[in-house]
Amino acid sequence: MIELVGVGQTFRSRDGEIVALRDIDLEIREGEFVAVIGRSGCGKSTLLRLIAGLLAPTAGQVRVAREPVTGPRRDIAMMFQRPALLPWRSVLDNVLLPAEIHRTRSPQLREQARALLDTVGLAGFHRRLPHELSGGMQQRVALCRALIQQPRVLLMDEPFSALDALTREELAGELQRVHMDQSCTTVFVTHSIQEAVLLADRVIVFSPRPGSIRRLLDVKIPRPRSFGYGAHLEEVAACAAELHELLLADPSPRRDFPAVTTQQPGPNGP
Amino acid sequence: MTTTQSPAYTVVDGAPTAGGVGRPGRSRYSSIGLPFAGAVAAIGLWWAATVVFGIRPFFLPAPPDIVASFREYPGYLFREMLVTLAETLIGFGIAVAGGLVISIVLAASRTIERATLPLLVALNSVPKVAVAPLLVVWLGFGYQPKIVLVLLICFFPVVVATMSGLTSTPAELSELARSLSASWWQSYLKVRLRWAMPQIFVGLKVAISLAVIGAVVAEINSSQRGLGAVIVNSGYASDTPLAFAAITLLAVLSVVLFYLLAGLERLLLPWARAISG
Repeated sequence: MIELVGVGQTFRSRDGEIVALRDIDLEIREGEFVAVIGRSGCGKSTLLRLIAGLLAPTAGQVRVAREPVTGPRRDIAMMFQRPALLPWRSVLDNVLLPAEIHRTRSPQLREQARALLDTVGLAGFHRRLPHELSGGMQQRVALCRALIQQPRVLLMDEPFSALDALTREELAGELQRVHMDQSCTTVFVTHSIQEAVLLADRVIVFSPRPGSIRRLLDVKIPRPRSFGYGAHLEEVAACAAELHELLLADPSPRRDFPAVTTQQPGPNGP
Repeated sequence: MTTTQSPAYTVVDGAPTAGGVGRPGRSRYSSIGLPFAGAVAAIGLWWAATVVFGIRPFFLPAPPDIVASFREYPGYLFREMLVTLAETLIGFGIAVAGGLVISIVLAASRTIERATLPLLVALNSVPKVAVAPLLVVWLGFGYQPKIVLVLLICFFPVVVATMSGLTSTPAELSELARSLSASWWQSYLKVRLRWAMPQIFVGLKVAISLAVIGAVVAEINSSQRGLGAVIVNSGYASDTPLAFAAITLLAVLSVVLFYLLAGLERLLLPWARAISG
């Protein structure tokens, strides 16, 4: 579904060039849920923006559904760290924004939006304005807005990172359910080992400066997964521990951003 | 969370229930009652000062003298107020319409915006009332110089506020529009312009307060009509209470126009206060 071939991204800044990504080769299958995990500033978000078509790679090629990505596509939905809701629109109208922009608004779609909102626990909030909702509820609205397009690819850039721990877990559970229902290909960028283990079929561990794939990890725990009793606690714990080792074994990236060009790339592979 | 209803918590929190219940009443009192009390006290002090120090109405009329003036010339004052109001609203209307169109055009391109915004900010700080005598030379003694001065004075605040509103769209909203492959027009209309609305209202509120000043300054320079002319004429007739009556009407006019706009803003943009607060 998503293919990256020799993808690299170099940014120009006042202090010279910054290599954000280098030699990324990756294939994501249709319906797969992939989590991308790594330290801050390792190019995870850049990777997502490349797939989204918001950014053109300086090297290599990104393909979605076998077509090279040249710009934003309608069958790709994106979710950001912040809900990015339009504050003057009601919850329902926010969900319908993509349909309005793509001129596919219809009464059926309106019903669909209502149903979506109901499934994420926002029944009775359709007419509210975003500021009347909690952060978790706002992010649920953003999730509905992403899903209303029935995207083939869902890109999520640390969507739960601004929420408190309990809300995060709740929303992660909800996302898992949504994914089991709709099974659109999902790329989920996160800092959280927990989220990665809970959600992903495959975890991509990134190493920083320049961002590159350090390890691909299959998570073969049956769904639905959870951190509660009766779940596959041992497998979850083992998987989390492995990720933990991989991530914390990385040397901490230098603080004086950006100085990548003068630095040796980190070791590739374990 | 101190106002929670659960009795278990009220004990822990040290019985904050009474304060919680009292608060809504107090806020209504403090938003309407306190300003009103302040105004009454100020008028009372002023009145007391005229009585205690025996100030003659020619220098500083007491509130009853002004009320007497209102009762003596109600029709005259009302007609002149309408003249001032008309000049104010026409000038303001043209400035808003023109200002919005111009700033929307200027803010459409980043290059044009960068080239023009500093100039506009600079022009905004030029005291426009200084050209009032010149406007008489150019446009005569009729309504035009008044309307033009109001227009000049209102135009720049509207343009500067609108442009800064249009250029302050949060990055995440622009990115969202891009990721939805919205056209330039769609993101301009659905996101940028809407986002700028609270800022535009800031400009409108500044402009409407200045508009009344512009109209009066123009009238004082050259006019037989309007509240500005009433003030000038009352000076010739040594009728200070009448001048004060005209000034009172001007103040009321300004305040009413301002709060009409503020009310319109609350009605149209209920979200703006919530996200800026």
